[in-house]
Amino acid sequence: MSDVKISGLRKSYGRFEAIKGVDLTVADGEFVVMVGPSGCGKSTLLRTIAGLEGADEGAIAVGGRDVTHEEPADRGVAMVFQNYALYPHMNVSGNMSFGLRMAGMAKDKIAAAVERAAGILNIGDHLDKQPKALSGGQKQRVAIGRAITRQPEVFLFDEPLSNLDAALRTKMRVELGRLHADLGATMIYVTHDQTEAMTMADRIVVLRDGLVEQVGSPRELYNRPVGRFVAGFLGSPRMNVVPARLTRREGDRITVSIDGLDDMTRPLDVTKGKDLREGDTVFVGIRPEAFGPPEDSGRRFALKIRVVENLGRETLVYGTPQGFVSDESDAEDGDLVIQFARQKDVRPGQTIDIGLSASALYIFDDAGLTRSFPNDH
Amino acid sequence: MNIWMKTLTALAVALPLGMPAAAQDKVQVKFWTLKNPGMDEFIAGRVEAFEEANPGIEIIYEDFPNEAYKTAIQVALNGSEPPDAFYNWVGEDSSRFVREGLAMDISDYGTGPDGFQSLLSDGWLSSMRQDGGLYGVPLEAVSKFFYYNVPFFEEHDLKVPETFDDVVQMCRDIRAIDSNLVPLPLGNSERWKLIHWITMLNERIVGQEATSVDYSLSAPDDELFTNPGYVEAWEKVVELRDADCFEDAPNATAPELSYVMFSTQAAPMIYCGSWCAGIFDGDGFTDYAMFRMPPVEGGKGADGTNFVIIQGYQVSAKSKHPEETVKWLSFLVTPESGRGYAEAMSRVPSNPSGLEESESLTDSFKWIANDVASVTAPINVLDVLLDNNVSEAYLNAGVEVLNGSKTPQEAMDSVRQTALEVKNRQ
Amino acid sequence: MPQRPRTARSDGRLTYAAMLSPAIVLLSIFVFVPVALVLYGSLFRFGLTSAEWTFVGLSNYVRAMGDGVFWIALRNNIIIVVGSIVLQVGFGTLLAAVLDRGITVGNTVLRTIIFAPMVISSVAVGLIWLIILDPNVGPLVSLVKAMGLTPPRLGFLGDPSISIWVVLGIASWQYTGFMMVLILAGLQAVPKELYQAAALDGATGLRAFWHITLPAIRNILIVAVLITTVGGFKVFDLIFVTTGGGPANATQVLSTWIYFQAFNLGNTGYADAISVILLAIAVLLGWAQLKSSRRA
Repeated sequence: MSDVKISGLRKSYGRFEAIKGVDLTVADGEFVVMVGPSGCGKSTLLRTIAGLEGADEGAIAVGGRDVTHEEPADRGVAMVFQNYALYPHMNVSGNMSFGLRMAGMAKDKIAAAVERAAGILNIGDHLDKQPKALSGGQKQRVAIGRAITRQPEVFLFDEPLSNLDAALRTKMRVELGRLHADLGATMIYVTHDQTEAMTMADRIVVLRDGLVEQVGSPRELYNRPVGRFVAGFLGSPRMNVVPARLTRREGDRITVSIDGLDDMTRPLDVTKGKDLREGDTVFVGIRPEAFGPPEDSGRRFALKIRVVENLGRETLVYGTPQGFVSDESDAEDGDLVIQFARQKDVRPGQTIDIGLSASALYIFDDAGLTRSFPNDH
Repeated sequence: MNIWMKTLTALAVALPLGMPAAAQDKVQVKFWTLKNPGMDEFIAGRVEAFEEANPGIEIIYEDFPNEAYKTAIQVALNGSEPPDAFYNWVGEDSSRFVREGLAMDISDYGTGPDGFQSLLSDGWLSSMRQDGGLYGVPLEAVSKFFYYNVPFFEEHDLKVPETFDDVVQMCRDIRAIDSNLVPLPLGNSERWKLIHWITMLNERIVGQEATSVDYSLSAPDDELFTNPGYVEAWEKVVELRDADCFEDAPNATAPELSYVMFSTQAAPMIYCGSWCAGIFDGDGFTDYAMFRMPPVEGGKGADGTNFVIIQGYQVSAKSKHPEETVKWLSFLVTPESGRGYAEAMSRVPSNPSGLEESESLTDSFKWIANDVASVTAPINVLDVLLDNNVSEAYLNAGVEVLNGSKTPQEAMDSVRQTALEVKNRQ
Repeated sequence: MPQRPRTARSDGRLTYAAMLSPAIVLLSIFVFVPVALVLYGSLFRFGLTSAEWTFVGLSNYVRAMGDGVFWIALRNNIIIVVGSIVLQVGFGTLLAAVLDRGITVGNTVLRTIIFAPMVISSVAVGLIWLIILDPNVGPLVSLVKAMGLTPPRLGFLGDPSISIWVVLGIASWQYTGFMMVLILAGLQAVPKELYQAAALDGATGLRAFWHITLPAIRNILIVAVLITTVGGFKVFDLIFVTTGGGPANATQVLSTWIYFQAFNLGNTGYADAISVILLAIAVLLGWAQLKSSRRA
């Protein structure tokens, strides 16, 4: 069993509290991705698990063993760094075998472990090369190979792909997924890239200001975010959020109004949180792909197109809605982003009609908590 | 005509016009001397007076610190524009320049009533004679004495030593009075202090006549520096050391510190140059008197001799104006200049006839000047007299004898060996 | 009139020659010609003021082989080189490591203090230490006595058996700070992640220093050793001021012995010969440097 159990973890740098009490359990063999904006504490959390930072409070257990006060090398974890951190004066096999040599393992066993790891990563041809002779992708493979060689209980990845170009990143993403499947090892992966999180994770941990905001499978987080923060963080282009007013409340049904559109009535899915009353400000979240054709959506508004991005399979349209403005979106100045799942022949300057169905709305209260989900989620 | 040509032509026309007319017909005498306290002031005053009396001559004067001078003058004399007159130590340094044809025979100059040959005594002039020629104008002499603290001697009823053994005994007596006192501080970090001792000990024991054939390396190979008196002289140094005359670690003590020991009365005696009187006076200690190095019992030294180093000026063999140059050097040894030199430098001038008129000279200075004048034969210092390589061997032998790393016999063996090498190379 | 374009080839040659000529002229004046003169002079017996030069063939070199002081000087140079590498580079590395990882408060102040002697000229350093080491009034003698120990009877600089080591100590006092700053710069350029990776691989503390730090600053250490070696062979001013090569040549090094022979003893030809030997040593070291830097 190589699960990881974190309980009540706190860590401060002087007055700055980086981690404010985190509880998290990563199951054996699970691939967990920690995401969040910079400064959210995700890297600190990972480094505290690795033992590179000491914990102020709380405990970390790996495979049921409390390692809170163990040396990094004795925790059964291996880490892959963003900038590879290969030892520049050792060749590839030297880099990969360093940990085992430090542990005093027999030479033939070390050779076997290096060979096995090199085989897994397809870097057998590079074993005698110096790190400076390798490309970025090769370096990252060696860094991963170095981790594999030690056969740790848990792999830790600290933004391992962010120094690679986009094409290589996609390739490595797939490869890491395959690696996880092959090794079946527990992996904790830190990134700020929501695509990596969505594509690779068994479960995603969203961190915000040193606290866990939400934990769940990628679809869970995408479909049922606990609040505006998670909703806005996952999904690209990000969710459009439009300010609205609560015009009526009847038990667990609420009616919201956006300027220029007819009122929309939705179920109140979440009752905890502040008590919503008529006249309260709320926010309505609409995913870019959730807009519909004007003829069968119930509500419609005119959109003056500013920018069109033809992506081939789909089309992104940035434009100014008539009657209201957005509070948050990937467009500027209160505009909306609308995604059409097909090619669409429109031009900037043109005004088109957009349909909006009440059943596609998220409704957030002014504290940012989700109170109503779309129908199909 | 382009702009370059114009500029060049303009310069060519302007240059001769720009030169001061006076400078062109003045004879320029280039004069190099040593930078010593008071020297600059003395020379500047003399230059002014000389140029006023001789409007046709301009003195261009440069001075150098001791160590830099030794190198600079050798290089300059070999160059194309050496100084007309230059300072030098009389002895091996001056005679080497004569041998190498760098110094001019000035027998035919300065013979008039104002000339140096009329102003200076034959004894002084003889120091500059070599192979029948006259190769310089002596300026000053440095001598060497035992200085002693008069009140201290009176308080402890000590008598001025009459023999060398008395000096050694005096050291024991002073240590007995107060073991913290240094009877005879040495300060040999620059090595020449002990060489002054050994110079006089050689004279007192071996005698000047016998030393001269060894110093000039003219003794036959099998006799060179074999006189047992040389070893005995070193043994006297060992006696002094063993009687605790010197401070701890004399080879690491600077000469200046030994002066300070005497003037601050941490040492009641010191064997010191004639220039030391001015230093002690300057430090505010004047209660001292002097005596010469006493004779060594059984030694062959002559009465009336003392340590005297003469320093003066030589004229470069390449000088184009020997007449004017000698005129200037003669001006530096007039009675008036001699007195001015003594007053500015506290050193004994080659022309002492003006000293009595001085009001500023101290009694001790006048005593020194009189004593130097009464010396029957000047004893030149070893390291000035000897070939540089042999003098180097002597300097190092002194350090090693003091340290105890060489016995007196071993010290002389090394000197003799070097002397033989140098002699056979010549 | 239209000019015919010159061929690229002749144009290039002219340009190369024009570009190189200032360097060649300067090198000739300040290096090649003096070297040639020294080589030539080493075959003669003459003094600075000699009118005649006597051709003596290689006998100046033979003389050096039989000159006890030449061997003392060479030995002293080697003592200073090896001692400086051990003291300056060794202590410099130690201090740099402590400042880099151990001490966080007052780091800059400490670094400045340790570096300070470097900016003083060697002559001034020599004079300062002459006072400190003075056997009669120097503070070090008082300190040693206050600790109940006996200072060397002949003085720190007057005792031939220790004087060269004392000079070595002074030189190291002056230059260790420089080495420290040099090496510290190297240490600070080592990415922190390397230490973290090493910590995860089980190498911390001394093991990390040995396996990560030292290899990472290898090139800087080579440079430091070279600077020290070259400095050790050309040391002059410090020795000239403190001991003048004494007591009795115990602290003579090649450069002071060359100066002494040329300017004090009038054996300029012999001084030339020793210079040539020193030059040969320098060329050898330069060759070694080229070799080692190519390998790195």
